[in-house]
Amino acid sequence: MIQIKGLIKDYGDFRALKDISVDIKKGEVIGLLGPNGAGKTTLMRIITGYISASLGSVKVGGKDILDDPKDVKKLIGYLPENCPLYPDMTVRDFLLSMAETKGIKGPKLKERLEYVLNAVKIKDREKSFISTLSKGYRQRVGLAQSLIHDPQILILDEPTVGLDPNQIIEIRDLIMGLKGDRTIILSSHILPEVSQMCERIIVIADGSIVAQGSESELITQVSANHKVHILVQEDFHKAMDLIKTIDGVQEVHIDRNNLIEAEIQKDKDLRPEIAQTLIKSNFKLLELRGGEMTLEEIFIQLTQAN
Amino acid sequence: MRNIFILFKREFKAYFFSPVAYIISFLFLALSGYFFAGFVNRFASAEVGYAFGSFPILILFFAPFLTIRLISEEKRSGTLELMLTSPISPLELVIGKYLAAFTVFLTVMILPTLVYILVMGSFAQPGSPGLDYGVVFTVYMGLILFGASLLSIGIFTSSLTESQLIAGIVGFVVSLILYLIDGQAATVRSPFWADLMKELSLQTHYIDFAGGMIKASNVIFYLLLTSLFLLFANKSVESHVWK
Repeated sequence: MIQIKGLIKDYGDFRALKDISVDIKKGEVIGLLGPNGAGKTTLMRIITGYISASLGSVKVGGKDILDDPKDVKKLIGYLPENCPLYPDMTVRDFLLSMAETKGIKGPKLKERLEYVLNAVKIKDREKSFISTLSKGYRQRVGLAQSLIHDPQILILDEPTVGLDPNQIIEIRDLIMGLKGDRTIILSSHILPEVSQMCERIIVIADGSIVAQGSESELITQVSANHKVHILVQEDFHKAMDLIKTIDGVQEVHIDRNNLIEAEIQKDKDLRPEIAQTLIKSNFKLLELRGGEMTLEEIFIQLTQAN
Repeated sequence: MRNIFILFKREFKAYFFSPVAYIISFLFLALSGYFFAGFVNRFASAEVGYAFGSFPILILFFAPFLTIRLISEEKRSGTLELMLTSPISPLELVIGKYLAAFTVFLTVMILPTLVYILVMGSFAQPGSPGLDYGVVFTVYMGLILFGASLLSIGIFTSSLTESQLIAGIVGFVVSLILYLIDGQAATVRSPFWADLMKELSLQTHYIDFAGGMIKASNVIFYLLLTSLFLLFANKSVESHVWK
């Protein structure tokens, strides 16, 4: 659906995107993850044709955004960062006018309007002026305008930023409900959001793609070791020394709460051996659990390494 | 064409969502009425060219207020991103907005001044030649062409910045320079530059209209100037893509 090849974007001397290449298939839900300033918005703006790349190409539905801008733009529904809207218009007028701008006419206009008003649940506020709406409602209006022409591709730049936890859940459910067979690209620096919604996560840092894959793939890509947490009732340091002697254990730490953390080679599961060894030596084992790296840890590791 | 009409429609409505159009109309009519009444009282004359003599400079002051918002506000609020990621071209955007400003100019500034013509027409003495409607026609043609070019300068400066204030000031100063440039022609030694300054002046090209004459060169001047600044505005919006 979207082929990005060798994309480079310079703002003066600053290189915002450094050779980005991605292939996005029809129906995929992609999460762009990265710290602020990593290049997520720039990448989205290039795909939508708002700005152009310094080098490289973007093909959407087989067409180049620079050669057929109008055709490509018809395929895309876009919610820009900060959700810009016309505050002086009513929700209804705004959506009708956006629909016309996107080339919808005749009886389809009203039909699409009713559909999006219900889809994002703003039917009850259709006559309100946008300036009187809360942030959550504005975000829905923004989503509604991106959907109005029934686009095959939805590009959402930080769709949940600035919302309270309840609104975040609502918007997230809305987006998931809209999926159908659409291709969705959304950006965020909120990790659980991305891992819940997206099949593929693309981590961008400093203008480059540093990793991509599903959450579990990212975890295996990043962590060389996995962790086991052990809690015994007493003799913590003796237990630690014992665990160190087990073959395959790389490193052992103990924290302030006397929880022992053993780092173990990625391909081995040493939990049974650790348990046996401790019990044979008469330690009172209270707790033993495997701990995987969280997405947070992966994020920090990936984005700081670069 | 359809896209231009859609953008025109939205922009035209937007003028009346806010009080801008009403305030401009009220103040323009108050001031033009004041000068018009002053002329009629003093000279008791029906020469439209003179009675409307202050109108170009008034239009010069008021036109920037109609255009400053057009593109700068979309840049500031980010809605330009919505527009430029929709399947419309920058030229359609510029022309749609320009036509809206132009139509508002006609409806709230030009159209109401027809009242002055009615007033002059109804007070003509019996037996006098009365109002020369040919001159009325050329004066209006001149004012409309003059206004059209000022609006194109305004939309161009509005496309340059996110700040309405800067857009307004720059637009006004550019218009003022183009209006007054012939005044300095006498001080320039080189006849080439002196002629050029006269030819570039918004004022020089209006005078014939006020006198009841339509010269192709004057019409072409205003139309060229208008098209030129609309193209500049288009380039300025387009250039955003390359930033």
